[in-house]
Order: sequence, then C-alpha cells, then structure tokens
Amino acid sequence: MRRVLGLAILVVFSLVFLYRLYSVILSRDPGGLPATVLSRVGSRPQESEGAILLMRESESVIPRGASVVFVRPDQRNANLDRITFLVALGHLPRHRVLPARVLDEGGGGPDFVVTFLQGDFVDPRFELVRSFEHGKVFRRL
Amino acid sequence: MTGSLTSLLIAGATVVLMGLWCVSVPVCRASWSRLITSAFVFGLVTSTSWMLLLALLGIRWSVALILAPPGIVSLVVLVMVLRRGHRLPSRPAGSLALVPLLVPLGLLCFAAVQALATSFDLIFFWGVKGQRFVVDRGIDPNFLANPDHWTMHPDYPPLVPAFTAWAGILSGSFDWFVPVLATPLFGTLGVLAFWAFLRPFVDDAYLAGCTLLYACIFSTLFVHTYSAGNAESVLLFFVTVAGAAAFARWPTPKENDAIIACALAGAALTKVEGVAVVAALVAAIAVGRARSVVDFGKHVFRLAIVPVVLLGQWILFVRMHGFLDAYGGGTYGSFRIESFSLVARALLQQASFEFSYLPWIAVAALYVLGAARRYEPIIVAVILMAFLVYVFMHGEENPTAWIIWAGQRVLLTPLSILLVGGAVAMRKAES
Repeated sequence: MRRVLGLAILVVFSLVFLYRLYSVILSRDPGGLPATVLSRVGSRPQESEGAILLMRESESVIPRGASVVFVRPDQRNANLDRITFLVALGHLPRHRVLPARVLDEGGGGPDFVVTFLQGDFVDPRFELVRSFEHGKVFRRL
Repeated sequence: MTGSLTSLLIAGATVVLMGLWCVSVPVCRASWSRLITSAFVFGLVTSTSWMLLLALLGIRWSVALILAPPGIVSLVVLVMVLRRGHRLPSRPAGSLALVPLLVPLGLLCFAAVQALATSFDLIFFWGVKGQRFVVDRGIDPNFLANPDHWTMHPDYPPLVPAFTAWAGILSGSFDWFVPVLATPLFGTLGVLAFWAFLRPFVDDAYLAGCTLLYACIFSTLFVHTYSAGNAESVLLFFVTVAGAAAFARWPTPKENDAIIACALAGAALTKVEGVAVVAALVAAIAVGRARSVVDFGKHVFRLAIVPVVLLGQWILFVRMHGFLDAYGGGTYGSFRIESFSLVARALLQQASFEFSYLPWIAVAALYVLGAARRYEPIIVAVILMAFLVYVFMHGEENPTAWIIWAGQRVLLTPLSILLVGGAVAMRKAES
C-alpha cells in the first residue's frame, strides 16, 4: 500500500511540474528558430536581439584591433552603460572594447562608436560611417 | 542551430574520450549509465585542469595539444583495464523505465533551442569568457585583470568557459548557442547520474519515479530561473554525482571516494559555491566514517585533496596575475550581521520559486514516504543554505535585488542534495 501510494505521489508531483514547465514555455511565446540567444528573454527581447545583431553587423565595418565604445545615446546611465559594455565585450572579441565613460573624458576618444537604436549621437569628434536597422557606427575624425 | 548542436556533441564526445580513464575505478564501469556520467566527470575535470596548466605555463591552446595527451592516456588506461580481464558493461539495462524522462528533458531542450530560458549571465560573463578563451587560445590574464572588466567576476572558476571554449576551438569559432544547448545536455547527465548511482540501492520502480521527479523539477526550474547558458546545470550534475555516490550507501564505502572526489573537484571548478559543496560533503562523509580524530583527518584528506589541488591551481593562476576577487572576498564587501533578517526573508521568499514551495514539498514527501531516512543530506543542504545566507549578508547595499537576481538559481544546489536524500530514503531493505 505504502509503495503504491509512494509511486502515485511521485507521478502526481511529476505531472504537476510538467504542467508548470509547459505553461512557462507557452508564456514565453515560442515560435521559429530565434536569431540570437536573447531573442525571447528579458522585458524587451526585441531590443536585446537588436543589440546582438548590431554587434554582428558592426564587426564587419570596424577593423580588427580598433578601439570601440558601444552606447545607447538616448538613455545613458551607469547601469545601461555597463550592460552595453559587456554585450560589446563578448561580441567584439577582436576589437578593443572600452567603457562608455571614455566618451566623457575628453581627448580623442575611441576609434569607433557604435550607437544602439536611433537615438541622436552628436559629438563633433566623430562622423557617421554606416547605419543599420538597430543602430549606427561612427568613426573618429 | 545544427552547427551549434554538432559543436556541442563533438565537444562532449571528446570530453568523454579524455575522461575514459575513469574505467580504472570499478564503480565507474559498473553500468553504462555510470560509465557515461563518470567519463563526463573525469573528462571535464581533466580537460579543464589540463587547459589551465597550459595557461599557467603560457602555452597557447590547440586542438592537438588539448586533446592528445589526456586522450592518449585515457585510451592507454582503457586498454590496460581490458587486458587485465575487466569487462565494460555489456548493454544498457532497464532503459525502458527511463522513457518518460524524454518528456521533461525534451521540453527543456525545446526551451533552450527556442532561447526561452537564456541566462543574462551568459551575455555578461560566462559567454564573454568562453569567447575570449577561443580568440586568445588560452586564458588572457590581462583581459581578466582589467579593472573595467570587474563585473565579469574575473576569478570565477574556469570549467564552464573552458568547456564552451573547447567547443569553439574544435569548430573554429565561439558559438553562443553552445552554452545554451549545454544546459539540456548537463541536465540529462544529472538525471542519468541520479539513476546510475542510486540504482543498485533503490527499488527500480521507485527510482524510476524519483528520477522522473528529479527531471521534471530541474527541467522546470532551469527554464523558470532562466538558467540556460550559465553554470547551474553543470554544478548540479557534479553535485548529483557526488551526492548520489556519497549517500546511496551509508557510511559511504571507500570505493566511491575516487568518483566523489572527482565530482567535488568539478563542483569547485564550476562555481564559487562549489567550495561550500566540497566542505559540507567531505565533512559529512568523514564524520559518518571516522572512529577517531586522526581517522577523520585521513578521510578528509582522501576526499578533499583533488578538489583542493585543482582549485588551488586556478587560485594560483589568479593570484599570479593579480585578479583575486571573489575568493578574496572582494566581490562581496564587508560582512553585515544586521542584514540577517532581510537576507533570510528575501531568500525564503525566493525559495518558493513562485510555485508555492512545491519543489521542497515534493522532497519532503519523499522523506515522509521513505522507510530508510538519513539525515546527512538534510544537514549538508542546511550547511549549503547557511553558506548562501552568509554570502548574501556581505556588502553595503541592500541585498534584496541581488537575491532576486540569483537566489532561486543558487537554491537549486541544496535542493538537488535533498532530492538525492529523498530517493535514498526509499532504499531497498536489504541495502
């Protein structure tokens, strides 16, 4: 009796967890194959996906070894600057990724700036090189 | 996606090759499921420590250099074991009982492929390190020691990035989906280890039920806590191997020491809290066996020497290059006793997994039903939880946000030990 009860409890709990797993998956809108590892997570998955796609596109424009800053110019703050820095650090491994604060420190600045989304980036030290769907690449004059 | 999966499977197969020397340990070759999980344990630990040694010596990684020495040693050991008349297990047995596991593991795989469970920590540090290890063909200490990179937790142990980097070196470039797909792989290995190491001691039907529950709980929680791509599934695999090998019979027989020590080394090389797993499990086993203080010391030495030496190798590398951080307490700030109630409350809240504490209730049900309850797994789990509380009590800022970010994931480790203990409570009377 105890054995049957034990097995029944194990099966019932397993089914409850399976149902939970199924519900969690459905709640995150599965679909076709995602373009990036972040395409379906976070509070703004389209933005996360866009940032990674922008990194891939920028990589082809920026020469290897060049210094790069990745920022979101319309929402600069310490937390967001840190996030964009880490995203660039992982996705531009053959470039010298610098934190966004170097833009505020004066001097020549980095060789390139990649700006996320279409927020205005106005800095007389840089000129636009290329526009992509998710952002722009600027080069130091 | 096919390319990512192929890279992962080739990396996994080569890790098994590098870990095949586990056949020299009789308990590891007792069944196919044990052989596969043990080879992964030995292979991951061997490849990571070998890659680390090469990094310490300043030698650039290459496919031949990483694979050939441990691979050849493994094959030589395999041939020697077979020539001594030992046989490998002839065929997988009882595999029909494992068929229901395909449902939770299949859903976990689907969630990973669909990027529904990706961890942001993959983007912030686990993946960044793996990517850099591939590009640098080694561990560039200047990159890790750069003060701008401190948010990457530079001294976090290297096993997971070393594994994903190995997949990248084999395929020519780092693939961000490899660590994501590694989560169902290590989830499956954890489930297999749970089955493999408990099987001789727990009634088959019960164990099949417990294994299904284990698979359902962790597949659900990996997805719920967005753990794909980070180190949780790898740590859980090592903890499950060590816990199951330690608690299946009590006191733990000495013949299990090699696999326990190796799995603990894997845990220590995977995450910082792996050190707490090593300390708690080694202490529990040594207390269970020891007849005197000297005896206690001998057992501690036998079990802890491998984890201590291998983690020491990493800490030596870190110290040599001046980026000691988490292991020196730098990440966490000063200890604040006044944080206790806040931390305990926040952690308790996270322990619900937003699912009415059901994982813990399921474990409690196993203990209530089992006739052969052992309290050592509970003590180990309590020590691990106390360690988590202690860690979260550091720092000047309110730790609530930190606990919300990481609390549920780090609670998976004590939960896995409790699940092993719950299954062991249903041991066959004769064992």
